[in-house]
Amino acid sequence: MNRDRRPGFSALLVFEIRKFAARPMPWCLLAAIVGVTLLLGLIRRAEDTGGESYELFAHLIARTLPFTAFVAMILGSLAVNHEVGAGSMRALLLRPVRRREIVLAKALLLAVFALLSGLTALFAAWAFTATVSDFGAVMITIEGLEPREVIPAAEMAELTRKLGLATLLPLLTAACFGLLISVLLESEGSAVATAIVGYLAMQVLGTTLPGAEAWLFPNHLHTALGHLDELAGQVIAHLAEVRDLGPTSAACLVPLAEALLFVLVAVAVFEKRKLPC
Amino acid sequence: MLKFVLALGLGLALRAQGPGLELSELDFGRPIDDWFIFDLDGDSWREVLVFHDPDPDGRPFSLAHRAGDAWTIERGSIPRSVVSLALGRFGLGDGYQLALIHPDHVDFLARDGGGALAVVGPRLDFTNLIRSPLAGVPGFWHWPTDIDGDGHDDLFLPGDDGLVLHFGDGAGGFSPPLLLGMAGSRRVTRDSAGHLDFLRSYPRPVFSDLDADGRRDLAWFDSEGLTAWMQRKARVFDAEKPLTFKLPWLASLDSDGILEQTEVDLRDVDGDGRPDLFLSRMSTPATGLGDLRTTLVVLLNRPEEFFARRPDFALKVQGVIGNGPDFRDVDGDGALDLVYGSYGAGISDALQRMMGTVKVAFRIHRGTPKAASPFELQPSRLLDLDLSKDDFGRWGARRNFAVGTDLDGDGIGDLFRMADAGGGRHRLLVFKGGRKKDGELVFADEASASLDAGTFETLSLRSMRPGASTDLVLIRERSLGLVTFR
Repeated sequence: MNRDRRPGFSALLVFEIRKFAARPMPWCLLAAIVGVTLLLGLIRRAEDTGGESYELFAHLIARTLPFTAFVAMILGSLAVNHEVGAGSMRALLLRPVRRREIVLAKALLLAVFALLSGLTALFAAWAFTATVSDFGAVMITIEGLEPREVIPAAEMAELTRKLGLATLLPLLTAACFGLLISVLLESEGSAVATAIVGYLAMQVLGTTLPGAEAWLFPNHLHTALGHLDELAGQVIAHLAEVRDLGPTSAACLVPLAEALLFVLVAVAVFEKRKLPC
Repeated sequence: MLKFVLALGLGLALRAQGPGLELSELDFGRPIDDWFIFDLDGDSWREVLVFHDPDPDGRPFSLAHRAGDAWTIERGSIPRSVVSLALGRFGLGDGYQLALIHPDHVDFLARDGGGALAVVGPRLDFTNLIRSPLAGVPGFWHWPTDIDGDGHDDLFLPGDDGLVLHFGDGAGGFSPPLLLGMAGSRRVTRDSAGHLDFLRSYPRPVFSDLDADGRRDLAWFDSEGLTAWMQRKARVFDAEKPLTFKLPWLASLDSDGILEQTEVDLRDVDGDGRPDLFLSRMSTPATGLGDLRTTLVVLLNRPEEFFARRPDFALKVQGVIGNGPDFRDVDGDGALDLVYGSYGAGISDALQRMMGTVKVAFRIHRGTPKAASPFELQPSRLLDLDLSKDDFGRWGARRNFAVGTDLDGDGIGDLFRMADAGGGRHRLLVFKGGRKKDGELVFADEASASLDAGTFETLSLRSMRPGASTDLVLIRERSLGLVTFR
């Protein structure tokens, strides 16, 4: 970046991408997602506990996606305070850059990375499952009776795509939530701990407080995973709810809105915050 | 000699009212151990029979019967030698008679002209000595059952080699005993005097008209599956091998007691008059901590084949079925619907229990008798109720439906809630059910009726007259509260 000319947002974004890509942690995360998926899949196969097609797929992503959300959130919770502590933020702010653009560039990068991580988890689970089993219709099998189809193959594939989309958006929100924490708290350790406690608290509140489930982003992830697990396990109690999923449904709009809110608050706080520069 | 003591007294029947509801209080004056509601005198109003803790003379009971708007409470004692009870119209008076089953004979009680219970008719002696309680003393061995389809109730008792049938003639007489062999088990026991004895036990007999010929066949469920003796002509059962049907999950029996994990029954679920086979079984999937699931299966009974090996309806439910499943016309469209309430699904249930709450998920599947499946696969109504752990215990019984029971008699199911009023008291709130234009069942947002229900130990739902709306029965320590929708 030129020291005298105000860099544009795109330049800031490229700068952030270069810094991010130069770190080993994001790449390790992506590799870990693939590795964990493979390991869990092999364990499941070795256990010989059944679990074909969607059941195995749901089993794998039910473990890797929450892990991905946690890591995206932790990366977010170190995005600003780490650079403040290391002094690189001071160097950046000596240049004619807008503070809000710094936060927005980090938010955009984190969001894209969270989505990429989620897609990696989904693809790894799909690829492993496809190698050992077919994605067919969901059947209720009862020992001693003929099986009965409850969801045809084509519809189940469509429902899975919808649920996949619904699981990705809360990952993005988790990253933005972490970013907000990193702006609020200078200490990296405190920020990571606060983010984890906050995530778990939201999940517990969403489970126990009536009506809270619809407004707390961790529950959107776990609800979508739960619905996929239900459908894969032949439980169709929420089939109508899953059918109604779409870009304009609450399950998609609420996490997006919350992500936007977290970023706006982070921008506002960062604008006002006195940094040790 | 029959030791039977009767005393007639007036019970205290208090009334209280709330908006839209009326509470009648039947105070029995002593702790209640067990209770039954049935029509004993044939006037279409059902009586309330309450048993108290046993004393040296026998088993004290109180019988409350309605006289106009008032309740009269009659007291008596069942002799200790009675091992079980049965109810039926045996022709020994108007209405029903209560059969006291002793080890070697049966006495019949009926209400005489004055209204008090008294022994009527000759006693029925039998040679098979019943040495063990049949269904819990003094529980009911059976309710009115006309086995041969002649319009008179019959009596069946356990014998040494099967079930002994005594066909009633409608005038207090019974036919010679007819033995129907049933697979049972025999075990050695020692009586109080130290003598060794053999005890036989049988599966629960189900008299059901499997072939819709107007006569009931004898069916039972055991580890062999469903077995039935078909009654081809009146009082003549097949001499050939009885009908057997291997139940699902028993096809390759690899664990003991699998039948205990499976609820199985014969019920007419599609309204065609033929009893259908219904099964539910709880299981734990390989994944998910504490993630219990229940599978419901319906096999329809068809004229051309009793039960095909292809399920007519199969459904998996998350959690344990705590209420139901039941088959009732909840939305008033003339077709039987499937209703159930489940709990215990996964970690969220465990978390909520730690907070003192149990979530019960009620589901209603609309009946579709003309379609290939008797019910819609997708529930038409989902309702999650958060109950405190205590309240969950109060109405966790399998037949106590907070959702979908018709309380106001309009033919459409309603919803009730018991709001915590503090100090152990509850306030009953009733939310009226209705139907949208497309037939969908909906419940009013605001309570249409409410009442101070006070404190109670448990509750149940009973209709006090055939075809009438359902009353809530609040079971208290010494009294029963009957809540009626006005």
